[in-house]
Amino acid sequence: MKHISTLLLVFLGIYTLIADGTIEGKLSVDSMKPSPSRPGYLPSPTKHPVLKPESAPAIVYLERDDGQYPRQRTNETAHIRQSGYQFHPSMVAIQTGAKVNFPNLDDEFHNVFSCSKAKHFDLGRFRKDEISSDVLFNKPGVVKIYCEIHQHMRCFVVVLDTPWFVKTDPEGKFSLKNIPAGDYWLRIFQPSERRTQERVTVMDGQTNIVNFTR
Amino acid sequence: MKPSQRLLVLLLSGTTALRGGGFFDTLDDKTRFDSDALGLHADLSFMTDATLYIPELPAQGLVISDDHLLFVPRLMTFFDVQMGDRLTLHTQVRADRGFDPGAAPDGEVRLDEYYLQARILKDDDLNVRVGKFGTAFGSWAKRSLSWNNPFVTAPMAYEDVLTVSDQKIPVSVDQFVHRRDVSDKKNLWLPILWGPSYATGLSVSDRIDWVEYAFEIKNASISSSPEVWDAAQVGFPTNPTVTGRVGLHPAPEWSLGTSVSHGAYLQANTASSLPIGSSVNDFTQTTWGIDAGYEHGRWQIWSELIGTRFEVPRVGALEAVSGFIEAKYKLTADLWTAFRWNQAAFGDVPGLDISWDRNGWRSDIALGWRLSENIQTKLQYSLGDKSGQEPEGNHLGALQVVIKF
Repeated sequence: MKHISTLLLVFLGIYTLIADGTIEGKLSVDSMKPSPSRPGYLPSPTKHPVLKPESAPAIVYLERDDGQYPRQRTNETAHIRQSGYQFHPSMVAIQTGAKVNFPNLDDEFHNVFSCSKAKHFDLGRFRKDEISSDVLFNKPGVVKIYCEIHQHMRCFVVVLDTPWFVKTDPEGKFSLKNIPAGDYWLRIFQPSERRTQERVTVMDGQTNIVNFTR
Repeated sequence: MKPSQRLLVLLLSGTTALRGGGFFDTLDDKTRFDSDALGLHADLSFMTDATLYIPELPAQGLVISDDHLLFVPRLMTFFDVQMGDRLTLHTQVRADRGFDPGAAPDGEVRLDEYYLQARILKDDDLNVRVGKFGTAFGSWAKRSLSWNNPFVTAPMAYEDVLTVSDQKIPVSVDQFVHRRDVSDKKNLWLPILWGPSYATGLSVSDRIDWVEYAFEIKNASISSSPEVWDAAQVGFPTNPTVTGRVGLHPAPEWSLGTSVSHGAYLQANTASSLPIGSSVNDFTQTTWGIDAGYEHGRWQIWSELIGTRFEVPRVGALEAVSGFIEAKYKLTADLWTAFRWNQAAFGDVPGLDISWDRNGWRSDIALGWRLSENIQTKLQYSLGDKSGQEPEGNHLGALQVVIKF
């Protein structure tokens, strides 16, 4: 009986992998807008040179019309480092209810904060290797994050109700796997904050190719 | 309700409505030019504030008002150009009711800062700056703009008017001593430092690991009034003011500094009123200061202790000490509070057993609300007192809205 149960579970697992669909594609990733200016001031002197910001990926995600999603990624904790007076990565996506940690790897203070509608927080001044508290993102939306001391620094946390999201690779390729069959909106959030969307259908065991052109 | 009060209410409600949007980000993007090919980056940016002062008369510090309400709107326009890796140009133009609140009731436009700065060595922070810019003395000038100042007003050392004048030369010691019993003549008398002191000159600054320094030579004393800051209008004197500061950052939490300044402070047109055989160059202001700052987590703390000595014609050397300690604490992500204690003490008039100005103190408390990364409001109440008669009001309230983009 035990062997039968085990076989059944393995079969169901394999069936699930085969039954769920995949969406793959490619898009042109644009770039972030220039950093907000700091009126009256040139960039503040820093102990080490300020590195160039890394190019941000686009976020590709699937949303359903009924807005009902499994809460399968709420236990994740993303990490956004401050290094070379820049945020790394400069764009992350998380499911609503997940957390983000902001370790400081620079020799000087940073002060991470956001005044976005989806999340208000201010971590205060914290130094290298100091443990900063995890920030819980419990409302969906785009959260713009800044450093109060180094105003050229900024990054995005895209908080989504859906667990089906992925970052594009540097060429703009993406792959969303293990998606239950059904009709979805395939949506894209670009580093420039531009959004695009397309209607897609996911079918069991099939890979749907969706390429976006500008 | 007066038109000025209506305008402030309108501004408050308008800024609240604008808080969540990307309106200011979009505006900021439109006023920027970047060309990597040319190595040229230009940025036009703005800061605007609207302040309602509610003073007990005569008003404290450098608030100039005959009314119990003074409304001061201000627009600051900054133009920054980065040319290659080493050369930068900066200008700051202000439109307001005077550099000090109410000094120009009908409004004026001024070029408060303009300078060219060159980074001399490729891998070093050695900078040479020429133009009109804030003083290297102390630590307050660097955070004097309304967005960075947790309060509406400056610390007492930077705005409390003393009885020393750079325009009115006392004819006798008695006449000078009498000044301490009358209200401050804010258009004639001087504080220890006049705000950020945007005088004209040349500076050299550098930062080497955890040590920084800045030395400058300028056309006006650190106590001089805004009217004599611009060398393009008043010229460069034969006895300029030399100022320097050396700062230490032993840890990210700490900043320590010591400053010295020395130079003539009398205006050139006082020469005919001076004792025979003396010139304006004989009468100097010498100032020293120490500053210390600490920041960590939700706290930011700053303090300065400043001592100054004025050589006053027909009176002699007059000494004063003024200091403050200021703390800002973030209550929440959006709300912060700040407290500042200021105190000043004055030496005796040479040959007399009487201090040359009134010893005094002032406590400032502020509550701030950051509505967005571009908008904040501040509410301040100040309570002060000076020994002896009542030369100025004990109370000052102020409400300020600041927008930057």
